Order: sequence, then structure tokens, then C-alpha cells
Amino acid sequence: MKTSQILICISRVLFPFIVLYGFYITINGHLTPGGGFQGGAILATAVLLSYFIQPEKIRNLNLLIKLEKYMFIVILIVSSISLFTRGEIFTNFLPINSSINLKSLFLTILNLFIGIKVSTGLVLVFSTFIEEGK
Amino acid sequence: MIIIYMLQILLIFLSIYIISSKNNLKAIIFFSIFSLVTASLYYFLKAPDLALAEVAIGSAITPLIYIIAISKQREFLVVSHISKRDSFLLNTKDTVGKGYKLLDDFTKHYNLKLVINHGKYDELKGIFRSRNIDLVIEKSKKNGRYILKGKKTSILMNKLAQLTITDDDIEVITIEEGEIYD
Repeated sequence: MKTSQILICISRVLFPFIVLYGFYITINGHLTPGGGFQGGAILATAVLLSYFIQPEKIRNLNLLIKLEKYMFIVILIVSSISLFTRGEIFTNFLPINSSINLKSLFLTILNLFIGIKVSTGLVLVFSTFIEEGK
Repeated sequence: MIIIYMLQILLIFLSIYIISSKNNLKAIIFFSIFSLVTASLYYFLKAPDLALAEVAIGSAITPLIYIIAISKQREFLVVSHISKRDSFLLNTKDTVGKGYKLLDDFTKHYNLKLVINHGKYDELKGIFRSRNIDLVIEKSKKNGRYILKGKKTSILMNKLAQLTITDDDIEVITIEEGEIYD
């Protein structure tokens, strides 16, 4: 696939803004529309653009596969911390009478990890497609 | 309210166009527009969460996967085991090898893209399975003829055998599915 110079130039301009927007949607998931899944999908589109800029950028797919698997375990651990702090599983690990800003930390952390997991998963799907017949 | 009705009518026309279009690439681009319209419809129906997911996945990632699949479909992969200095597959400004001319005409006739790979069969593996190779070229040590090996099930191999039946230098061998090439 030969990509034109205009597409490469525009992709270079757009890339940081898309990454910023993806992280914004992921981190602000508990206040605004969006969340881990949507932000992760937008981050995956940013990586997709990087294929136009430098086609040989992503080489080590095994690292991404490992990262995705570890993220699953990390999500389970974060969601079950509350078993030790409050005695209940799958709920906020902070005490119930703490301030609202502090309590939203739980949702932010969980959204961030879900976003990383979704984006690595989607990147893996289309990078295996690209690498398949080189 | 009028905007919602207009977008819905636009969706119907777009989907009819996608189904009836003969060109694959055009259909994919209109599929991407289709999901963009769907996303704006979600937004007007007060589901911005879904709209965000639809924009990212429906109009960027899915069309890219389709485009890659289409560009892979139109390749004719040839693996050559003969040395690079051999004039059979040479393609420079001054000399065009006999085999290269044959394969080039053959693939142009069927509207495919010719990809010639020098090297070993083992290096050409995809991530999950070995790559589907269309043709393997070897040089026989006994009489110096060039041997073209391909799958028996492929219709293209029959055509290639008919093309080269008058040629003394070239021999076409077809192999059953599942056998090893070497």
C-alpha cells in the first residue's frame, strides 16, 4: 500500500490531538459520556494513524499480547481490593464517608486500565491483519 | 426532529448503495460514511456513549480491516529457490527474464499483483499460520529445467500449465493440498 505525502503530513498533525482526546475521554469517564471502552477505541485509532506515518513502527507484538493479558489481572486485583479494606468484593475500596472527589479515584483507575486493555486489544487485531501477509 | 428523519432516509439510501455497488473499495468507503451517519443519529437520540464508540470502531477500524483484506486478496505470491543472478526471474532496465515476463503477463491478465520473494519457505510465516504460497520456482539439477510447483486445486495452475506446454525449459507440477513443497 503506497500512502500519499498529504495523508502522512495530516496524520502527523492529528496524532497528538487524538491521543489527548482518547486520554481525556478515558479519564473523565465518570463525569462525561464515554469511558474506558470508548477512550480505548479512540487510542487504537491513533495507533492506526501511526501506521500511515511509519509502517515499520510496531514490531514486537508479543509485548502487546503480554500487556493485554496482564491488564486483565490488574483489573481484577483493583476491583477486589475492597475485600480487604471494606469486607465486600467488587465495590469502591475507599470508606463510604470520604469525600466524593476521593471516591471517584476508584472509577478513574478502573477506566484507565480498561482503556489500556481495549486499545491494546484493538491494536492487536489490526496489526495481526497487517503483519499476516508481509 | 426533521434532522432525525432526514438522517434515517439518508441511511436507507446509503445501505442500498453499499449493497448494489460493484466496486469493493467504494463499498467500504460508503460503509464508513454509513457508520458516521449512524453515530450522529445516536447523538440526536441522546446516546452519546454509543456515538463515541461507533465513530471510533465503525468508521475507522472496521473499514481498515476490510481494506487490508482486499489488498491481500489480489496478490500472487511466488517463492523462488533459484539464485538471484539467474536471468530467469531478472527484472532490470536492460534485461527482462523469460520467467518474469511470463508471470507478469499471466498476473496482469487475471488482474493480480505479482509478489516475488527470494528466500526460504520457512521465513514466510504469518503470525498464526503459515502463509498461503501460490507458486514455488526451482531449478532442476539433472537437466537444468525450471520447475514451477503449485497447488492442484488452484484453477490458475491449470491455465499456467496450458500456457507453458510448448516451452521446453519450463515444467509445471501440481501438488495435492497438505503436502510439503520441498
